[in-house]
Amino acid sequence: MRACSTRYGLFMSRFIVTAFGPDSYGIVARVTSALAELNCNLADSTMSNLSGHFAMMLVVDGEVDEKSIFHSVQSKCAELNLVVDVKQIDPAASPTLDGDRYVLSVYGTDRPGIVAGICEVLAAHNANIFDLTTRVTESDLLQIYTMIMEIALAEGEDPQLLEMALRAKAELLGVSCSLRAVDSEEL
Amino acid sequence: MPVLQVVQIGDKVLSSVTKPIEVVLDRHRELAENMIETMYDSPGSVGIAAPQVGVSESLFVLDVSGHKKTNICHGLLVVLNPIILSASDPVTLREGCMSVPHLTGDVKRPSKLVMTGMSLDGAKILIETDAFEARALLHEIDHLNGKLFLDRVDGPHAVFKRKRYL
Repeated sequence: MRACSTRYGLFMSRFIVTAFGPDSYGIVARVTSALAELNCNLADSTMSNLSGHFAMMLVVDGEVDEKSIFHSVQSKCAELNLVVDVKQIDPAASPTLDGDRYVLSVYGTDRPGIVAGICEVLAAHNANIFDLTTRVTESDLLQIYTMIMEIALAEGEDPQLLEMALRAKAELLGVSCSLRAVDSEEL
Repeated sequence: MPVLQVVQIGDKVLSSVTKPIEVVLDRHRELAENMIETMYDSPGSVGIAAPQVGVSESLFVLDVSGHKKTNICHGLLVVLNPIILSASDPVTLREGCMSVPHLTGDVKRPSKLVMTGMSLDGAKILIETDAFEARALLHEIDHLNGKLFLDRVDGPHAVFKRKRYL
């Protein structure tokens, strides 16, 4: 495992820290203050309430080891019933599968296999998922599944072919889907 | 005039491209009257497109009078077979829809719009507008093309569960 060089230190290691548990006040404050006390820096994060459970995924840099992070977070959050995991990662082995960015919307009556079916098509066309959120809502006594994602399409892949394949799969799944280029403006 | 049942997300009629109306018939006039009644009966609603009441034909009604974000206002509009002539100056705002009752989303849409269409008496109409009326018109035109605001949201983090119902 290689150490990484960041603006905060020459020999820092990088970790992925996950923590989740029943939502309550102060989860983010406690987890991040445990990391701050170890002089760790948050390089990236995503945090969200998932059906009443709060989930955190953090990329953390610090001159520490897995055990010290784990024990620090666990002791700081003892009464919050969080499930905590810490894993050291090699920053040099983090591929960036980028390309032209698109937003994909999928929605319709909920059923098992929507995410799997759509994502199989994306994988077959070398479309890399950068971000994905889902929502389940009720409408006319039906459960409606809504999934929005941002994807990057590998160079050489045809977005029109991808869209045709997605529409065909969506038809089979009984949902609607649409793909559009990310609209970014240089200012 | 009856208030019509509004079709909800998940119904195929909402993702189908509507048929243009070649000749205005009595049933189209009756449909428009009922859609207007339904729009005014629904708190917060400023427009309804025919697919939202289960009819896959190119017709919508709209009235943004009194809305706080309205600038130019044409009052009550009944538009058949709309065509966008020009649309510019995009702005992002949060939208909702009677057919997607539990979600809202941030959508970037042009704030200046020039469009044509046909009135219920078969005459050509030209609409030049801006701000909220332009957004509402584009939202309704999307319905006629089988699209919901969910097909235009800015990204994965631009969809929200509705916190407040009007």
